[in-house]
Amino acid sequence: MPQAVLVINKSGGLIYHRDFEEVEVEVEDRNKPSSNDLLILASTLHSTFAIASQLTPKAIQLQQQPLPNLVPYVPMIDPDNLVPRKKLGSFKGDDYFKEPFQNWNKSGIRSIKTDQFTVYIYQSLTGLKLVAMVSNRSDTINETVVNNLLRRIYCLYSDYVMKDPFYSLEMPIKSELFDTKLRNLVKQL
Amino acid sequence: MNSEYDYLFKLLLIGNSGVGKSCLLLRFSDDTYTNDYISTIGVDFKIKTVELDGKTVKLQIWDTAGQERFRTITSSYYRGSHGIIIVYDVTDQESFNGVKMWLQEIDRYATSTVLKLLVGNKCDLKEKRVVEYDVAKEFADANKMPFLETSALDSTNVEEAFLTMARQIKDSMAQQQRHDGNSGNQKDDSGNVNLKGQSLTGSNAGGCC
Repeated sequence: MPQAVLVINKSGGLIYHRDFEEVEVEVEDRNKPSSNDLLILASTLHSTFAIASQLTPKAIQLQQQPLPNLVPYVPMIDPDNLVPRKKLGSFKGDDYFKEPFQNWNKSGIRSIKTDQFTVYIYQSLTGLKLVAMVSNRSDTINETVVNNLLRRIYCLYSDYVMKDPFYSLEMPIKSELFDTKLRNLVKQL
Repeated sequence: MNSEYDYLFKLLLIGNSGVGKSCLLLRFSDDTYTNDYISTIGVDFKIKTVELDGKTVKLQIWDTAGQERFRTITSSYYRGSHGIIIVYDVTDQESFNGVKMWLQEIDRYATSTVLKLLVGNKCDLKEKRVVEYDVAKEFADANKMPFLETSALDSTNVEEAFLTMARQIKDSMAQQQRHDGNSGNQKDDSGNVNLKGQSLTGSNAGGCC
């Protein structure tokens, strides 16, 4: 289970943040990052990402490979617990997608590994960044699984945020439905 | 709950090195002033929460580095900003001349609807002044942007500069929503998607060299 999921808009603003605790523990308030800290964290990540993509040699960026970096499809639902299999996709059947997909993030940062945790970044074609922070203690979650999760969150975003008529673009996501769906998705990991 | 704010506005501070962008921001966000000159590296962020029409708005101000060597990175910060504040130093003619160049940068990297504001900083240094108010005002009018003279030292106009901007953004946003609501078959392309600018996925700049 990831520790946190962030959504960063194309201009580097944090528009969604959700923490996940493996065990419900009362964290002392002073240890929790404030909303301003999180905004700064997100924007710093965005700028570091921008610097990283500038550092990538142009030759690599321009290389025309046929479908490079395909991420294989990983079914999110644990096969043992799928009675009755819940429908995930809105109209596309029991899951959003079933084919391998491409990570559009070709020149920026894909992951940052620290001693304690790893940050994974999935970027959409429009520049939306989906970020997952995963503790290194969990050995079941690897890059492929996280990329699959983040792509599904992107699908949720398309379905429940972008189709919300009251949502103003690039602004904080306040959709309860998106929040619930995202939490259900993460719980299935 | 997840987010305790309704809107997040991105403001950008640009201008030549040493004109007082960081000091201006420090005065606005923390109401302090420092005489030390520490060059900004890359970008710095400050966040201020304000209430506008009953909505909680977070102003996230991106304080960019003015030094030439950071220019390649700063260009990627223009994307999606709601307002850009161009700062010059009233005691430094060179920094005022640079405003033209900064306007070109805005045209190149930011969206055409972005709100601009020209700020002449250090207006407390009366005897050292080389850029007259009228000259700058005329220039600002010619480029259709509001103009203010500020002082981060004695906090003249600092609050005004940022809050004017915030209000303008909020208003233009409400207008945009009304516009979207009754757009229908209006033949007005102001609401269209601007396809200019760089690609985001990194395979950019392919065509230009």
